[in-house]
Amino acid sequence: MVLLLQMVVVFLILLIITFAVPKLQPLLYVAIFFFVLFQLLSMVVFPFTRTIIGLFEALPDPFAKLLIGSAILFFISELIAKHIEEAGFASLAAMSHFIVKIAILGLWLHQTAALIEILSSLITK
Amino acid sequence: MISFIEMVLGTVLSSFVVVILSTFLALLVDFLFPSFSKWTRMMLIFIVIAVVLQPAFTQLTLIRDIANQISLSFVSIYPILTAAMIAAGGAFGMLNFQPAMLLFANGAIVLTESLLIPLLTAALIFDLVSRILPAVPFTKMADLIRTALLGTVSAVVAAYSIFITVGGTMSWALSGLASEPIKELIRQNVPLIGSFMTDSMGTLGRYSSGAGVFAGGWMITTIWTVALVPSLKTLLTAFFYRWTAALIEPFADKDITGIIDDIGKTLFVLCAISFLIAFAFIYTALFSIILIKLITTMK
Repeated sequence: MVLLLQMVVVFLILLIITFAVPKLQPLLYVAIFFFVLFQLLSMVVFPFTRTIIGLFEALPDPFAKLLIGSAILFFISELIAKHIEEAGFASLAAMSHFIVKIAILGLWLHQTAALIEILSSLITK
Repeated sequence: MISFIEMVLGTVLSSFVVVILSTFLALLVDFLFPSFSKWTRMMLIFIVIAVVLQPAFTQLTLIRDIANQISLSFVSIYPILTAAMIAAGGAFGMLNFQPAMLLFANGAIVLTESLLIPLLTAALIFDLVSRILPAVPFTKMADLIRTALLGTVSAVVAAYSIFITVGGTMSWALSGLASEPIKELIRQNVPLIGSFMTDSMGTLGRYSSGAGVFAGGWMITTIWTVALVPSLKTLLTAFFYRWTAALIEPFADKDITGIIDDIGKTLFVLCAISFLIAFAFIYTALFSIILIKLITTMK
């Protein structure tokens, strides 16, 4: 609930900035956005993730961590890409999202290799 | 025996729990990150293939290795056995041992190793592909391969029984009147290969009865156990797969239950194939034992 209130306050500050100094609005918006993002990440998202990962400890080791981690990474990257796009740099946004996707795939590379090994052991003698 | 069942039960039960947990995790991630849902499904399939299907794949490679070894040893041992049989003369005639039967039994293994098991692997991979990429389904193909394999194996076993009963050896064990209810029970409760199992058991039983006079009951029991353990293990694993699929169907993804169910079906066919191997093993082992016995008593 406190967090929702914080978001409303941030929203109000942004509105005030838009009215008071319209020229500085994009810059200040970006600054405040990232500040709030990192605060929320450290206060809510990471502890929550840790709890969830602890909850699914019974799953074979890297999978729960990998799945939740890559989902969060994907979500944050999507958020940032959208933000960049709103500022008018759509191609940069697409690029950053693409890079993060490759990073996520890189995280899964080990598992993919294991999977391919299992499947190819079926067809080779 | 108990620890063996516990081992199989443990692997498959733990993978059952893994499926439930990962389904739950996928639900959670889907709720939090809807735009990630396509990936979540993919990763769920990943987990299922890498963790849950491991016992099935181990089973397949195990049977493949056994077939490979038996066919290799057959190729090296067959000339010696045939030569010995000819040297022993008419002593084998009354036991209904024919060199052709030995060739046939082990030829079936060569067939298994070079054709049946690769085909079964293909069926397995077709199943996986049609579940991972629903746009490119190969389910009919996989089913066709499975039915064809089952047909081939049944035909070979029927040929075995013809070979064996031509000599008119006496019946024993499962073909007796008292065992009819057990046969019926197996036939109705083991899906796909139930009647096949009772038939091949009957064939094996008819065959061993003739040899039992020479080799002794305990020896035959030992050979049976050794030969049938891989088949039994495959059968148990297959049962647990289908059971798991049935249990998790209400709350798991349709693809996941489908994969597990298909793998169960494929394992049943693998079990049928492994009966061929078991039969060839029993035949060769008994044959060697009787040969050695004949040679030692003749002196």
